Amino acid sequence: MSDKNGNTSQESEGSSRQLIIALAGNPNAGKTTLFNALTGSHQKVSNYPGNTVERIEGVWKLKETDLHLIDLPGLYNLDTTSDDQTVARKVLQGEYEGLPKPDAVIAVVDATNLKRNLYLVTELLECKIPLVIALTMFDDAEKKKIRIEIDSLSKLLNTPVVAVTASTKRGLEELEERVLAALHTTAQIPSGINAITEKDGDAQAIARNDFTRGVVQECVTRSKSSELSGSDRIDRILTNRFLGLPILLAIVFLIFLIVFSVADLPMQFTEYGFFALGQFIENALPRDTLFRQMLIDGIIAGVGGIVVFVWQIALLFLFISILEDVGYLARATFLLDRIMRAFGLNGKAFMPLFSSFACAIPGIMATRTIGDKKDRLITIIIAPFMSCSARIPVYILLIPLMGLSAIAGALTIVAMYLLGIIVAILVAFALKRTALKAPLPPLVMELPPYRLPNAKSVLINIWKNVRMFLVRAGTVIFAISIILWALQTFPSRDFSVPEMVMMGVAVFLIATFMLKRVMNLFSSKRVSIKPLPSRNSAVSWWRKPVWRSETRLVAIVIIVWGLVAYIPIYASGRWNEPNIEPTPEEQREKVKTSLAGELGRIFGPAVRPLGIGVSNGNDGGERGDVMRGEIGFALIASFAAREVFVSAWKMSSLGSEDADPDPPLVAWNNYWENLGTSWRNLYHGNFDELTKGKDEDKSLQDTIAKNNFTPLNALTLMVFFVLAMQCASTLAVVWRETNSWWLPIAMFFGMTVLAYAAAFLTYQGGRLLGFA
Amino acid sequence: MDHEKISTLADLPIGVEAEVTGILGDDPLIRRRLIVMGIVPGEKIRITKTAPLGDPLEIRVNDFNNSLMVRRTEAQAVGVRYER
Repeated sequence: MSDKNGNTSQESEGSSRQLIIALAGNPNAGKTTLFNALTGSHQKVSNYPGNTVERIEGVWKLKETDLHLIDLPGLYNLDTTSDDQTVARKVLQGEYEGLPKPDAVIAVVDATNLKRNLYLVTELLECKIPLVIALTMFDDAEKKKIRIEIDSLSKLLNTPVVAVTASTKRGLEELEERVLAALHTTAQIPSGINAITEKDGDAQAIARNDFTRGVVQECVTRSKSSELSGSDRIDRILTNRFLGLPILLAIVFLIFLIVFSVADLPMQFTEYGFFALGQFIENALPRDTLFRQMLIDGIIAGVGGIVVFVWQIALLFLFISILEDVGYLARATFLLDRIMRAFGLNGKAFMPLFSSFACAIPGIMATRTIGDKKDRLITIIIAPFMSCSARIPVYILLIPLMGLSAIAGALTIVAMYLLGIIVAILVAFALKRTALKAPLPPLVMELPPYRLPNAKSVLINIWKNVRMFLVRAGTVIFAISIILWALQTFPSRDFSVPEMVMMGVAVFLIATFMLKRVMNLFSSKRVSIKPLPSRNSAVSWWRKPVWRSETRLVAIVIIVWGLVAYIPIYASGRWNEPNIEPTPEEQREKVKTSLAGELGRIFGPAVRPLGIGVSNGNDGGERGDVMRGEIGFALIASFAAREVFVSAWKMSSLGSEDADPDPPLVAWNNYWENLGTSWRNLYHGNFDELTKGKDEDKSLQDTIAKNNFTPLNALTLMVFFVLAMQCASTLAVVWRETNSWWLPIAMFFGMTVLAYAAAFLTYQGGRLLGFA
Repeated sequence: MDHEKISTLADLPIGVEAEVTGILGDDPLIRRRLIVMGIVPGEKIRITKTAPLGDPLEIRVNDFNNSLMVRRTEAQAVGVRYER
């Protein structure tokens, strides 16, 4: 298919260059809904080179042709200096390498807000690209008694105008035809626009405004209604001077409650799923080898531990997407702007920080919506202080060890959350005053009318975030799990030399690949923009670009390792020989003599100032050393992922890990039973029953109590966990999102030092107050 | 007795309709943003409510359907004239 200039082939494959259509329009005009309707789930999200603006593109299948559709950021204008606008200008002028000037532009215009939307249209008309206007929200306009003469509008702007309703697909066919027609024309600038370009600066902007006012006067008739719109009536309560903030807090609290309680059941199913996978491997490979252990204790345990949080993330984003679609997030910004400004935060940081309570990874990715670079950096830096889901297992383990009453225990958890929030505010405040000082970007923002959420958009948004979480967290955790497991196993005398060699090779490869990614950031090679694969292409999933050769190499090494481990066993007929199960004592010894155990012992003295293992003022002698070694080991393990602390501590002190997860049916019954019991206890005021810890942790608690682990120790450790950076996946995401290698390193060291200092103060303060 | 008052949007009493006389202030970014959103000389404008802490303001520009929010500091860049 040739474009208007008769150009056909450009790519080496001999196919003609894929035609590019840009989608532009105001935020809230229905641009993204239209984009989703045209591309389905065939979208890709990435970054524009050099900044953090989200790059959203997809494939629009238009009558046998695949068009490359670019969803430009929502904009009101193109003529100032924000990142969004700069990116849009560059795209429209074809200034990005590999992304030629678009062949047509679809301007999405909200029929209920024509005048404001047309400002951008006047700028688009100057770009000399064929334009088609998609007029959305037509039914809403009719309900508001706004009548638009489409023909008149089209004539005044010299541009085809099509009324579309993305949700019902009405008008999409006509849009397709108009776009096809537009691709074969050259753009013509309507007469009124020339007068605008002759002016400068503010005068030009005001001239644009006059032009749009003229157009609207010609084409739009409104019956003035002085009664409040539905949205206004809702806002009388939701942005009420007195009720607004309490309602916001209630909504936030409710969302947390629902997310964390509802996600629990699918989480248990997922845990069981991974456990079943492990059982399957144990049955398929009956003989225990290093390889089998790597699969079960390394990969499955590691990856499973992170994947299990996907439910909380999905649920949280369900609520966030609904709130955004409905229009409530704008009201939240209205209510919170003053407070967040006082803390040095941008109003748009609310949503990313809120998401970080489930997991900092999607939260940090969500900071892309914060236009201002410095504000975004601050938000990224403080996001990990919002206590994420992974810290909860640690809190649940440590709170019972404090021996408090039920209510005090609950209050302590709340205090931990608050601690994170307060520290975050202080850090943001300090940064804003010093290193990241910058003038505040203007707020002037629309409060869109309340709308029903669009189911498709919400689902696509959830999927986008879940997928990014699984890919980002998954790949990092996969690599780190193998390395950590190796640390905990090496040096093991029980297994064959060839296996040890394979383990070394695998670890070496993974470490090298990770290092290579870090080194890549030093090079100035810019990522070029490739055209998207056509929708019809039956590309096998293993040939898709996401599977890079490094992954294949690691996969090959793992397969070879498996063969090296099991072929000799099979050959010597020992396949079904029973394994010698180590006793818990032996397990503990293995942990202690492993590399990780050694590291734990080396780190042990470091936690002495935090009071671990200390009794009666002296350092507890050998028992204290043992305790410190165990905790040191668990702490090291937890720097990859926080929840690993629990199983690692159990491993090093008891020689066994968590109890097996319940099968789905048992989990289902227990869940509803517990829920019913909890509500009944709440109803009757039996708070003690509510916070009783799980029985399987009792053995750990007994052992720990015998070793001088005091309530103050528990509190100190918790404080440490609130503030420390113990998530390799988060660091990886920060690295990807900011394209800098020093920021993750700085965050790691900064937060760990902060956590240590806070834990130290907690312990010493507790001692002074007589709690030791 | 009616007389005309000239001041900025920031000082406009809530609910009183005024006419925009000019876009002032040193910050070109704020000025441009205000114009883009439709706050230009000649438009009728009024404050419909304020946020819990008095800032930002929710305003309505007469030809538009959607309300806007602006900070007080930004509202100071909008000169207005109203009857009192």
